[in-house]
Amino acid sequence: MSELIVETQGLTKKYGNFTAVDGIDLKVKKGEIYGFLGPNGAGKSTTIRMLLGLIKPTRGDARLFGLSIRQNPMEILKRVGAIVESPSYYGNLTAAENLEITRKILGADKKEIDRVLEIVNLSQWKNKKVKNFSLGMKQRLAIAQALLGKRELLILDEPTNGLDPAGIHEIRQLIKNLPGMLGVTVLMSSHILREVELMATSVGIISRGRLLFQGTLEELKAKSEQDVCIEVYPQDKALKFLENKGLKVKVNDNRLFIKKNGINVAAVNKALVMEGFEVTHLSVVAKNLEDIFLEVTGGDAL
Amino acid sequence: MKKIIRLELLKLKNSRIFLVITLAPVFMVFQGVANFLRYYDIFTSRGQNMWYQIYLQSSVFYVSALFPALIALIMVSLARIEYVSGGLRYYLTLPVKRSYVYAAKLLVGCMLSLLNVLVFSLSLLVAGKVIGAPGEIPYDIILTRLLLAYIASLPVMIVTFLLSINFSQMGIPLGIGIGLATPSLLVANTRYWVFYPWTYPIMAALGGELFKNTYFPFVAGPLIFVILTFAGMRWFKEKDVLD
Repeated sequence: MSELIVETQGLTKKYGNFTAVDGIDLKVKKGEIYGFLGPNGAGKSTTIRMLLGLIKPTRGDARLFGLSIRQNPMEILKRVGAIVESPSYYGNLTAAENLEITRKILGADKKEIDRVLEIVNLSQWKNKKVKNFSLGMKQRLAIAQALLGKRELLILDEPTNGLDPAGIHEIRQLIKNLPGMLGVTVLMSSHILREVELMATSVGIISRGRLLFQGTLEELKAKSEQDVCIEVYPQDKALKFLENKGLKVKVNDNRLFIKKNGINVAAVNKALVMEGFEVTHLSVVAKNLEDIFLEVTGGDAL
Repeated sequence: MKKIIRLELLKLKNSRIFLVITLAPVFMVFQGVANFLRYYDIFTSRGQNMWYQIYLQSSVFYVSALFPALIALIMVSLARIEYVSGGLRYYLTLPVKRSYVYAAKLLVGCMLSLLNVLVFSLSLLVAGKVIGAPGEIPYDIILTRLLLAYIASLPVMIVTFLLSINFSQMGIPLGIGIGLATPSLLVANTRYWVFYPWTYPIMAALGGELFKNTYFPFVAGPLIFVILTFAGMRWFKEKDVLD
């Protein structure tokens, strides 16, 4: 049983009649990259802001490192580096000055500024004003800010949002290496399935304020049922034949689909052929994550 | 707390606010003196005190319009650096007490406003010397009275401060701040001025018939300031940071 770094119990935020976050129980284990996945407006940012004490929950509590964010915010925030939505910075200051603010508050060593600038590859821009930075550079600076000091948990809200493909690749590589490199735990939100699939070890799926799935990627994939896809002539007769055998068959694009669970594929094939049908194609199709996601969210696309 | 105040000053680096708050009062004195020189004969024909005349010419518009507008500008600038690119939502994820952030910001705002008054005062002194105003320098007028006007402005400061940190768009607090200052000279000439804190600095700086022997602004001003400061702090500590 590994240590839980983030644990929420029934975390809820209401705005009037609208429930932005509805009784969420997040569990993030030490050393993992937890992908917090959901469409825009699902409640990811609100949840993250509650974890960081920026927003007060209507109900429930968030515990980080076993401490309550309501009771021990200072204790917790010292150990957490965060990016909340788009990168935040003071544009009239240089990269080094922005980091200096973080450093002073954390009471960290002066050398930390150069160290984190090095990690995100911004050393040569340290004395340039941030408002002239490209979005990718601002994002890297935000990550540098989050890394400064000895943080044990990084909470990154949409860390690749708005970056160009090269920037996305770079940031993904960087985040992916963090747990191994620095021993930190990462909680990152994203509305991009592929991104979570590429980076995360665990995943939480949120839609309309509710946490619909939580577990490892493997567990998520295992949730999905495989289909057997058959192309057979004449189709309508084959359909009747299979249905008479008590199978549930879906027709799609001149192909027949049968749920694979508990079916002997070879036996089905044999039965069809023996009956005189012409089977031109037979395969087992694994659903991709996108289909699984739609299944989990009940049709709410990303 | 000292650290937090220093950081607030660091955040203002490269911002044009210092330029504005030091140049604007100098300009005001400059035009006040120009006006005085234009009507030199009228202003001195009955042997009036030249120091007092340039003080009056410069400060009528300063305390009634420019100073409250600059206060609004200062407070809005302090809030704007936090909202324009998400500084606040980042800053508050650092282990820093919200009450300290609030207090440090307000304090810096009040200090910048004081700096503004002092520059105005100094400009008067220099102007008086340059045009060769006779007699001893009347510090009780060009310094003490302005400092009293500053104290009387405390309600204006806290109200514009709270407006600024409540609205992430700068137009609203700036508009309200300047809007509330606009009618102050008119209200100051009625007996309802006590209900309108924007008149307090005018009363403190310029006096007038209605103001004789009244210490009201110096009691009400700081009182309103203290009450609103604490109410605002309670609100800010609980506030959801959504911007």
